[in-house]
Amino acid sequence: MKMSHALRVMILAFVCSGCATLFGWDIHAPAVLSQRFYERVQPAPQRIALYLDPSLPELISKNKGGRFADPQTYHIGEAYVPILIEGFQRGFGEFILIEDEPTQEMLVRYAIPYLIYIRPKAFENDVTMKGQTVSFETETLAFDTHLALLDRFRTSGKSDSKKVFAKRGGPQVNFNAALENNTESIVLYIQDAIRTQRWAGSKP
Amino acid sequence: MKKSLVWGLAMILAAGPIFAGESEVLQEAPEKVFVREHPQTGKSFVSLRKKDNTKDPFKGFVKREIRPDYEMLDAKTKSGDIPYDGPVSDRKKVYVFAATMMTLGVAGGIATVAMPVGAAAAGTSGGTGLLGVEAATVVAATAGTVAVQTHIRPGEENYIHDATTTAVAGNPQNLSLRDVLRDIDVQEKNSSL
Repeated sequence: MKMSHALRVMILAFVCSGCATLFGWDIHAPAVLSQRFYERVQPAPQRIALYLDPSLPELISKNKGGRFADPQTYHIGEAYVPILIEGFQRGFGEFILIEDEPTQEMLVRYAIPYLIYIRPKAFENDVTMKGQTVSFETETLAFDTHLALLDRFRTSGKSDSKKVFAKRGGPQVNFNAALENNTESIVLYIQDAIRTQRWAGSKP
Repeated sequence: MKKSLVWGLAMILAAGPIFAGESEVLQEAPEKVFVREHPQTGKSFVSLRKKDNTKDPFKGFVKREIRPDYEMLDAKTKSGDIPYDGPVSDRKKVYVFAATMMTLGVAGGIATVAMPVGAAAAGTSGGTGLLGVEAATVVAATAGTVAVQTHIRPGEENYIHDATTTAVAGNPQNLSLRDVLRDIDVQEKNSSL
């Protein structure tokens, strides 16, 4: 009698905890652009500097995307920083990474016409029985040589795929795709702004 | 005579470099310009940083020489159909028994193991995570015109890739990088309260 009671409690605990607690996923994206990016984004002959928010490199998310999904840890910054730099290297002829807070003097000294500053805004994850939708949203601010703000925009990169967790490397590649889509949209937007001279009115 | 000429020359040299006689002052830049290699591709790029900054933005990064093929995301593609040598999840087993043990109250020590599981479940009920607080702000603050929108839906493939960039409304001229950084500090303070 005592035994069956313990068994019932254990089964109840099992049901309450769900299968979700069986596994934990530690997800590191390949952190490199696909060949597709190189086909879609063509280089622009432009000098541009990139300054990343200091929180980006260490950024992670534990959003598991569903009540019954396994615990997941997404190493966002570790993958996004190399992807973004590679994207900017591809997208702009003269790319400069600024590792400290940029100053007006610095931009003038090195004749940098545009400074791009990127910070994270949201990471969303939706895991269902069929698949997974993962998205990463950032905010970008474009400054001129004198640190006057030229533009401010938000970018969301998303990847929605089925049977992700059933494949070896599936969640990693799906995650990588979301980060790549975000980068592609940022680079194309900036290229478009420069090509159409949308920022020219504010240029010194 | 020869001796005095040598001494004279020696004194002039000791007094300082001859080319320093001009009034020109060459101020050294406080930044250091150097070339970095991309941790993945090995392609070089120019980097600027203050001289006292020794932080490596790619510290501990392990090179993975694999370009992902998104055909792998097609539902019709089975695991292993597309070669993949990139990182995979090290499926850490979180023992379900920890939850069971907690329920039974057998060992208090296991609570530390089981706690993250409970915390994760609680956190995800809001569908957020570490960036969750920001998500609502994004939705509320997004405004303005959609300048570039790419909606990628590959023909025959069964996956969807979206990327959207939205311009934010308002007069951007009133902000500078310092304003933005101050804004970040305010947000951080608010979230920690």
